[in-house]
Amino acid sequence: MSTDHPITHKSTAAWYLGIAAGLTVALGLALAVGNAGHADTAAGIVTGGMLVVVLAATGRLRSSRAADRAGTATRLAAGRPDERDVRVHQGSLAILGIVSVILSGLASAATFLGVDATTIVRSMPFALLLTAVVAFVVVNRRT
Amino acid sequence: MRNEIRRLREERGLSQGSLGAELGVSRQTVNSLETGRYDPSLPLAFTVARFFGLSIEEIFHVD
Repeated sequence: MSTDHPITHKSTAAWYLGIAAGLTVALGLALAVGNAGHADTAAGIVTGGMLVVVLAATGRLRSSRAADRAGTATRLAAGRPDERDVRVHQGSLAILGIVSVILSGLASAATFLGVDATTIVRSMPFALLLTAVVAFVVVNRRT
Repeated sequence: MRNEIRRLREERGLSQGSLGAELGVSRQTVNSLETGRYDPSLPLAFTVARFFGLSIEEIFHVD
């Protein structure tokens, strides 16, 4: 048995498409939240979305101009990962997936104990983001 | 899995960065390979073996 499709990295077009999709989601969400009367939250979403785009663009620039000094996260953000970077990414996402299932179960149970559901839902993205960062750092150091 | 990459690289006077550039991977990946924290994919193992002019079995050893 043989294969005829070698492993390829994301193309430049795919990277731009990903950035455009992320921007569209962030702006759409900000628009919806803004229309619902939460202007400050909408501004925060736009700021956060733009920050991610700027970081990704900086990472792409850095990975091409100073490839030797670029780290795993930089290459991933730039859409130019090597196979170890992809392994680190997949490993940290696997941990994030398991933790998200556990957290959602705990959050669901907490609502039955009288904890405010709104507070739980609004804190969940921060908990998951923190989990993602910690998982990435740990997997990156151990891989 | 143990491997001979560090010895082979040093014998050729290469830095981790320059070996990474030859293999098409990052300096960190070369470092992780050398310290045994990361086992390469089969295509990368073939690339490493081809670069050093050896067989995969001569470079990578199962513990």
